Amino acid sequence: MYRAKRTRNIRQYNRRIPNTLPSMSEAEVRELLQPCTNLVGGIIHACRRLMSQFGYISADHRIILADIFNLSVAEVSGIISFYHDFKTTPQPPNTLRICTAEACQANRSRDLVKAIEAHLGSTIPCQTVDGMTAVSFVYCLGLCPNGPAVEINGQLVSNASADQVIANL
Amino acid sequence: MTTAYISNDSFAHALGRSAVMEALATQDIDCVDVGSYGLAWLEPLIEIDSPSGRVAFGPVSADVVSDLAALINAGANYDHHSSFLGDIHEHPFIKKQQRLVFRNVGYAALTDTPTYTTLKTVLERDPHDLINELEVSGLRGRGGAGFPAHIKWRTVADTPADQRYIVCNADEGDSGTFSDRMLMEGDPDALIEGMAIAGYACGASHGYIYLRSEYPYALHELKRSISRAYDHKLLGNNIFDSEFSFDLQVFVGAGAYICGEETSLLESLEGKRGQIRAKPPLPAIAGLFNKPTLVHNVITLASVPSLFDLGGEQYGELGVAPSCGTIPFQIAGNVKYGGLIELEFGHTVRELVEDYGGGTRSGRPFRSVQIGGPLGAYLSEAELDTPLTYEAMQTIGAGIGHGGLVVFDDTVDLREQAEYAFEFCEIESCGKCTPCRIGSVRGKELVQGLPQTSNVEADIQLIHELCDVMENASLCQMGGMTPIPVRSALERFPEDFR
Ligand SMILES: Cc1cc2nc3c(=O)[nH]c(=O)nc-3n(C[C@H](O)[C@H](O)[C@H](O)COP(=O)(O)O)c2cc1C
Ligand code: SF4
Ligand code: FES
Repeated sequence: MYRAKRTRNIRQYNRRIPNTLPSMSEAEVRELLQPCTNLVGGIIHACRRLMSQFGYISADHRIILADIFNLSVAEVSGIISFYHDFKTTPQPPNTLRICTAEACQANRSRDLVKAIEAHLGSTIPCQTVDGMTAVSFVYCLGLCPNGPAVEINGQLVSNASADQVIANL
Repeated sequence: MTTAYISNDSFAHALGRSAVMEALATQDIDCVDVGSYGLAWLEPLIEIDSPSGRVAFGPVSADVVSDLAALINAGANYDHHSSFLGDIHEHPFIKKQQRLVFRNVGYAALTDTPTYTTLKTVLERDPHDLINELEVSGLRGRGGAGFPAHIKWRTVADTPADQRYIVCNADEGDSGTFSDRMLMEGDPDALIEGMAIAGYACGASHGYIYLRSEYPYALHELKRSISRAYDHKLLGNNIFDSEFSFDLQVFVGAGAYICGEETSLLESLEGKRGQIRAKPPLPAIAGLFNKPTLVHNVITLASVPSLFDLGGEQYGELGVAPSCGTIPFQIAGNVKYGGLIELEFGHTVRELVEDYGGGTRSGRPFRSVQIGGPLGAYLSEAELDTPLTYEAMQTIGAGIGHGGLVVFDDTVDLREQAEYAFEFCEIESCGKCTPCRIGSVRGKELVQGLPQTSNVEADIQLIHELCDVMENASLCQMGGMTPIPVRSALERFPEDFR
């Protein structure tokens, strides 16, 4: 049992500013990844760490990964390119993911996508003109009775409307 | 002083739970987090203690919270409030359900200390005895294929090895399914206890839960429950002072539908590209790191404690043999009352779509329901009276899959859906074999081209031939089952293609 605490009202999705993290030295990156080497499937853990630290996995990172996990750089690239979550180019600080799976299609997600694409002036996946938000598709967020579902900076939204989504872009 | 039990499920988070918490913070009300009862259109749902037991309200907003608080403080009657639902167990959506796997979800506080009493009792029994009881229960895998669980357990147990693994498939990738997520967010201990029991029966001392990255709340609950189980010595060495030790870890996937297929999942867990392995060898003989590995879906493993509580024989009497027991169905898409419905096998599709679902949310006429995710068949009105058993569904060329039903109204264009089935296969194919990797692209182009083509019948014939190749020559069911939605759409809704 606990008392609810006053928090910021999360309905207004927090915009993130561009990544201003200081770049890391090679030794620091190695230190960041070191704990992953003891884990089963360690390289996947390591890639996730790099994603959350830098937003993408650079060519230099791939060389370090290859060295740590005793793989060729080509093998590392093969692993990274297999998974949708891993990116090899710098990403905008904000994300919008729109569910386009069947249950959301049944609740007219195709119309939502069209409206957002019209607003953006380009087809998804893409970035907003200001380069601040990456807009992409996701295959099911597990909110299937209440579609269309979207995810804005990690926060889930059911019954999403075009106006509501565009207001956050 | 009042206590409020608040759904902490993703459903509630996506429907404004944070605003409700904000409002609760201003009131003299204690909060307890619980899972969701699965009435998705009533989230965020809260219950409060009353003299006659808990009473539910939903959907709850900040305004509802202040209304309620005012009524409670004034000692007034809240039964007439528009969001008053009364005793949730008497709600028509819940009342006739047979909840075994989901017996605690929605009710039990997420902070309750687990006891794992079923694990404690089975640890006093012979492992072979447990597998025999599992056989009597007739439990089959809930991940999609419906393979008898006891065969896998026995194979893992009987294959000589220095190390065996229990792997939980929590990659729930199918659209229209969310039972794994709800279970992990609402009663993760059922899964952990089920995995430990499987570990004891199969002689495995390590378990992994392969969770998809789209489920951050499930990850949070799993991690919390696993560390609490370690704290209470319900995981780790010499559980309940027995010889049995079991370690459990969560592994988060990285966005790949195909990693739900068990061999692809194992490759991914080993830190590789999630490419399919050829079978044989079966994972039960040579799985993770080539050791015997029991791979089961979340619901299969979470069924285990309630199954042993009930007794194998009694469990086996539920349903329509050989489709035994209960399964959490999930009804979603264009439906008025969507959510989770745990029932024994044998109820008809119509009961779920009409009695539970209440028809379409848009109010337009029903047109189709897709059962079993993206690789499942599109059914028409004429097939709604089919009972939901593995056998009956097979006779109409469909499957239950993971129990998801996605309802469409009459605005659906089945040609578009067939095109999407190919497109999905194109995006998610692991790329190992040609029928799937190339076939999906060609299939998409063919279906896309139908409105413009000069010879529709010839192209449809070509689509059928392509489906034959994919069905017969694909290495796994990704390519092998993509023809199911395509063909079912072509056969049942031919007018959409011409
Ligand atoms: C393309 C594909 C995707 C699959 N996705 C899942 C999934 O997301 N979750 C799951 O439990 N099983 C999934 N399966 C089924 C698994 O391969 C496997 O049969 C299952 O995990 C076995 O567990 P069970 O015995 O409990 O059903 C998938 C199969 C295929 C071919
Ligand atoms: S059918 Fe598709 S997903 Fe399966 S092995 Fe072949 S290419 Fe990979
Ligand atoms: S299909 Fe969109 S959330 Fe499941």
